[in-house]
Amino acid sequence: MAIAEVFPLHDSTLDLLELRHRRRETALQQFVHAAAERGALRHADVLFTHLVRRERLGSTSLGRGFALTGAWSLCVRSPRVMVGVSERGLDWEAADGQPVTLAACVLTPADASEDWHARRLAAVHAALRLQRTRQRITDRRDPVLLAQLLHEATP
Amino acid sequence: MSIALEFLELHELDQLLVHARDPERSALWRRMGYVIASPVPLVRERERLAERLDRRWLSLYERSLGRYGSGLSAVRQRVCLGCRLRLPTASAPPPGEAHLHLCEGCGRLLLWD
Repeated sequence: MAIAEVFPLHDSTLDLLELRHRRRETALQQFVHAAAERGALRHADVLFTHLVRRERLGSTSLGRGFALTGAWSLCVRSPRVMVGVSERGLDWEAADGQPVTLAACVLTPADASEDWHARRLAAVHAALRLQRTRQRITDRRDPVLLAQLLHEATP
Repeated sequence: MSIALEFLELHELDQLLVHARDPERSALWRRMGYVIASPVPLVRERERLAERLDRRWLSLYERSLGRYGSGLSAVRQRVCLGCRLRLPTASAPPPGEAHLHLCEGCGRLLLWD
């Protein structure tokens, strides 16, 4: 899984990583680890537990190989959006049964308004909802393209 | 895990449950395409988590949760982010220690940075 990070939504500073694991929890762990490494979190373990519990309320897979998760949390120091791409696909317990090939994680500090978190989530959803857009990102692994897409969708 | 972090975990879980139970918020999730499952397993998990916590602090936490929708508030630069009260310097825990305190303004448990 490759992870591209965008901070804030329209920033083009990106980071790409490879992950060979196939489990959803491992991908969530990688998101949390990447955010923690950049100093965006406090109490990363609590945030990881939060993301896992969010999945218990219903999978955050939106179908067709796309998952969008996130948290509006006291564990988040600074807003972050991370996008991960998986070569083989991740088992995300999707309703349509398809493995997730592109997952995004939107982290918003609880200091900010909940409405802002909802708008950030909606912006990432809008930017990545089309399969052909996600396919372009998966194929090209281009942080600039991703940043451009998210920038256009920034509220 | 320190008592402050245990309450942080409870707070995060409660916020998820607030979302799941709120018709407006869960409708927003559904509009985005999420399928929302029953919150019952998380409610049970909350019960198990709450059982481990100190009853006195839990009672104070739940009182604020009922009143404001959150029982815990972060502190930034000695300001309670729940009610914006500036807290006295003496109320800050020593660096590296996670003690529980109550906000003198709103009564929420405080999570110091």
